[in-house]
Amino acid sequence: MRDDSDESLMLRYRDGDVRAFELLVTRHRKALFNFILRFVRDTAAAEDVTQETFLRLVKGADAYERQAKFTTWLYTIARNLCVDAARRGKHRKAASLDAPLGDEDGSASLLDLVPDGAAGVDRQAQSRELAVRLRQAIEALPDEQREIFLLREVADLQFNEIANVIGCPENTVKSRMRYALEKLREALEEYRDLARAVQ
Amino acid sequence: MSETTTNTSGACELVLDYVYGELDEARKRTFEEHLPTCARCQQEVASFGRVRTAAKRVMPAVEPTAPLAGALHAQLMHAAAQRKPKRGVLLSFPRKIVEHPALSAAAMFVLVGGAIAINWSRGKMAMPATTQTAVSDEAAAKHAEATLDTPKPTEAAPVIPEPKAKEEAPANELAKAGDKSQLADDKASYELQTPKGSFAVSRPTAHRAVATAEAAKKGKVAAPASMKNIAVDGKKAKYDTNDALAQGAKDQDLNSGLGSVNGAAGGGGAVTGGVVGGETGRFGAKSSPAKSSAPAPADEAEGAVLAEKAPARKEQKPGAGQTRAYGSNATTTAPAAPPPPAPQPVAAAAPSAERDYRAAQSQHAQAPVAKPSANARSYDLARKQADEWATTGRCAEAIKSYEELQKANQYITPTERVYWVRCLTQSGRQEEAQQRLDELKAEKKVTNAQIEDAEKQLVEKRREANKKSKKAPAADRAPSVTSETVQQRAQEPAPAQASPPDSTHTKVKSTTSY
Repeated sequence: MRDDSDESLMLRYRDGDVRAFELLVTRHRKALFNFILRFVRDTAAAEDVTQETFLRLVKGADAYERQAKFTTWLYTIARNLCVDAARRGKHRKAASLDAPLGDEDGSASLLDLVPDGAAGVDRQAQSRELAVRLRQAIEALPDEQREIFLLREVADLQFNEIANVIGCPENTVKSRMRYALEKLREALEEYRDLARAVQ
Repeated sequence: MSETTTNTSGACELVLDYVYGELDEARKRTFEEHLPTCARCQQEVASFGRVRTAAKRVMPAVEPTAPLAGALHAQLMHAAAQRKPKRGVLLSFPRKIVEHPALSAAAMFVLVGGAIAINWSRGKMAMPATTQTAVSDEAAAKHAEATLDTPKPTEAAPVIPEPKAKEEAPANELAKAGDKSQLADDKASYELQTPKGSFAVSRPTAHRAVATAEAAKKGKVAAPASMKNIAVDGKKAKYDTNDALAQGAKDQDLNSGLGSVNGAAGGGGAVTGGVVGGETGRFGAKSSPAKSSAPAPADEAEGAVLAEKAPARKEQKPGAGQTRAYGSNATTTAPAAPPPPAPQPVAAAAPSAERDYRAAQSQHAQAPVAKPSANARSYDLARKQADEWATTGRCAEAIKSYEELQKANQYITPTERVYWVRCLTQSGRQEEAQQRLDELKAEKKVTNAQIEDAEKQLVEKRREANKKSKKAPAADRAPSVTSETVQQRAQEPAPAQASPPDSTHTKVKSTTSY
């Protein structure tokens, strides 16, 4: 069963095999949670959206047909829920990059997760600064570019799948991706040398 | 140079796909051949690669939080397990109804209500007649008797459904139970000898009164009431019927008293035409091969009810009334004699019009006259039948039915009275028609058009009669005499069937619905 494709697992769950669904959840939970977390920028909201996404799968299992990839369907649901959550979250305070990931006050922040590559103290400081700069640049991306960037980099979907998820032509997806990458490249221009060093 | 090369070949468009590894082998080879020649593509591939690497380091994969991996996961799996696989589409709607309490309640309501409505519309839900007074029973029986006296049709008469009286139910139960019944004599309190001892048996007052009245009429004793009412030493007790049967088989006195056990029980139930108590040596009623004296009702027991309620008729027809001979030897009464032929009116010197009337009657003999029974429903049916006959030109039958309805103090609508007038006119009974028309005019309950129409017919009929009288005066006088004769004959049973007292009248009217 572990070697089965997502689609066959989903079909099995549609026929009543709960174990197949559990395997699907285990297989996609991490990537989905990361995508949602980067999208909504809030851990609690990301948990809720992730849970809701899988519940939508349960509800829609009867209607599932093997016409598209399972991941496309999964991320379509997730992306729509993220858009809704982002709309609701606009009225809230923006998430801090230094905020702890967990509930505990002493847990690591996103910045702490950036590896230093065994660099020196200066390099560590520059690396942190680079990470902050890059995150700011990603946050500053327009929504349509940012979601494509996240779907490609975090969810690891191909361009044609992203096109299906978003509902626009593949060339449009590529174009937006190119714009996103160029903006990020400009943001990293100051730290070019450092980036090379990190590489 | 390089840009020119790129633009012409279109390979520069493949930079992004190349960076993300989405090119197939052929296109990848093409782009790699192009890449050394295009500085811009080289620059983009390098910069995009750096951005991707930096982004991956900045956005490392985060493990799902503890709640998501624990409680939320368990909750999700529970929800997934709760889901039932989709089943057939065809039965989904009935399944929804069954599974939903409100829907199932609504469905039950619709089903029960529909069943009631259907039965109501078919007349099966009519409430059985309540216990009528003795007077009303007697009047109804008289009417039934009068109806039965009419000439019997050659073919089977249309059975008019009549609701059975309440008393019939326990009577039928007793008839079915048969062996469980135990009757000895008509004492209010009497003793039964059984192997277990003697039982003091008493009957309810009402049953006792009815039975006593019957017995007083016939000089015979009545049977006791239902076994449920048997009291042993002042307390109600279940009677051991087997013992009683065994004892009863030996006891000729008991056997001889079972002529109409079910008829007496319940204060007037069915008499099935005789009980072969002596032959079988058992208590209780058994359907006798001898038919009941009442020919018309479909149910023999029902006929027995009528026979029971018509003491006058019993005197006239011994075979009919004797089936309810309490205390008499059942074997002697069981083979009820066939009912004597109904007294035919004397028609020896019948005038020609009367002969016509008789001919018309015999002509429609195959469609017999409906016999209004002792309840309002039958009257309604008879009324409808009379209207139908009046509108289809079968005037003799219609007149007869109307007259019977009038005798039974049934309300006849003005329209029906107009029909009656027409029928009388067409039957040559102009005087009576004129009289009834005058009554209608006086009451002013019908439209002028109806009266004019009836009058017109009456005048035309009179003209025809006058013309005929001019041609053959001797032969034409007869019809007027004849019509009177017919009228008298139609009213003949009236003295015997005197209109019931007011209480009966009220009773019958109360059950009549218009």
